[in-house]
Amino acid sequence: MDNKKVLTISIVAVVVLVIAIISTSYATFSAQISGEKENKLTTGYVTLKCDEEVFTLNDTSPMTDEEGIALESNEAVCTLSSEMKGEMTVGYDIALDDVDAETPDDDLTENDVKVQIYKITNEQDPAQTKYLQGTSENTGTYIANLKEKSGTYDTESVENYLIDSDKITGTTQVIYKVKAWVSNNKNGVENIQTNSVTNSDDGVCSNSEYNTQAECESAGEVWGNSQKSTQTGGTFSFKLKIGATQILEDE
Amino acid sequence: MFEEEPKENHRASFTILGIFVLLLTVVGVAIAAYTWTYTSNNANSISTGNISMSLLESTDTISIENALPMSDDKGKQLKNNGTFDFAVTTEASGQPGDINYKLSITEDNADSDYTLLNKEQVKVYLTVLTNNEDAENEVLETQVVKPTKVSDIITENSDNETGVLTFDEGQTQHLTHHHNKIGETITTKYRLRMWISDDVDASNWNESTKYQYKLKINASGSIDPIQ
Repeated sequence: MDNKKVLTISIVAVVVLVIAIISTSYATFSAQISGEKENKLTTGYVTLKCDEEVFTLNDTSPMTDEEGIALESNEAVCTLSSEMKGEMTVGYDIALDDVDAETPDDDLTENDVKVQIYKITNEQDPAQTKYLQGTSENTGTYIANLKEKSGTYDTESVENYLIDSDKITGTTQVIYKVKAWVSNNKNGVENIQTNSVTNSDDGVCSNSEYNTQAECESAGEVWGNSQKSTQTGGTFSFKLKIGATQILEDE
Repeated sequence: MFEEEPKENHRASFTILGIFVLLLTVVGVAIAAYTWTYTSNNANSISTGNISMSLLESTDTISIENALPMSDDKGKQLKNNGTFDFAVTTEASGQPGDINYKLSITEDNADSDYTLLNKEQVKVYLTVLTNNEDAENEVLETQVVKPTKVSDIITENSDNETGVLTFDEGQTQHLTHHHNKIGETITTKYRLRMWISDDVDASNWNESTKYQYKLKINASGSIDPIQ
């Protein structure tokens, strides 16, 4: 029994000693290994730009939608281009800006001017032309009808006169066109009657070459009193504006 | 043991704070990651010119006294006090276009001592006046509204005792002024005549019966630009 105890204690002691030795061995081992693979992060970029064509149309007259749409030199163009290195979705709002800001008090207002708005995503495929804000291939809408329309993505910059809200990704191009004309509902001359006369002259010849009644009448012209109704011209202007912001994936 | 606890608490606090700051940074970067605003420098501009229309009325108005029924042929030959000349002039300073207009007559009240004749008893006749290019100062007259009873012009459905003159077929071109040049002034001259229709029975008229008819001419226009 004593031998067995001694043997048992000895075995235990040896095991403990071995463990102690091993532990000590591990504790004294250290190594450093440097990896060969580089992990790096380089930035991409997103560039948006609007190449604009503006128009100036002077001395125009009120006209129908058909005439306004057929007219030339009355088209504002914004070619919106995006160039992206990396992946991002950008939401943008395009709108009219500074509407009638230059001559707000004259006779031509947003209630008189109509626009046809459309965007072209593929110039080779006319079927992809999309008419916006209730306009169509043959009809326009009054600018006043856009006044309460605000942006979707950049509500701070685009509070009204929205043309379109859309998303853009990658390197691509969208062409926006806004044709404008004075609506024929703004007829210039009303009844020449007592209640609508704006100017009256006595002693006038129907031919302004003659200044006296004798000269006028002997030339076969009409001499008398003239009542005149005049619609004075006006100017209406607008700019284009875009507000864009990144759309996060969870939005 | 009691000295170790504060260190553990500090570690935990720093860890939580670090995660919170990291979270804020990530969220902050995400919100402001990309924005772009474009505002045009140049305005698109559209402007209209001035448009005006004038009605020039002769000082020599129709003033027929002791009028009696007469034939159309005779009425059409009335001169001097039996005629009233007027001219419609339009001017457009802007883009050329067509200005269309209408002529109408409005019945006026009779003078205080008179009774207004019935509209069926009065006829009007309108001609357009043009200068004869072959004879200086000679005026040519062309009928544009045939002799017509006022009752056929100012009907029961007319507003404010006003009726539009219907031009004869082939004469409506006078009602359109084609402005082919910017700033062009166009004038059309007219001559109005009026008389008592020859189907009116005047047998009851006598020295004490005082009838009268008065009317005014109106012009109204609208724009129809050239396409």
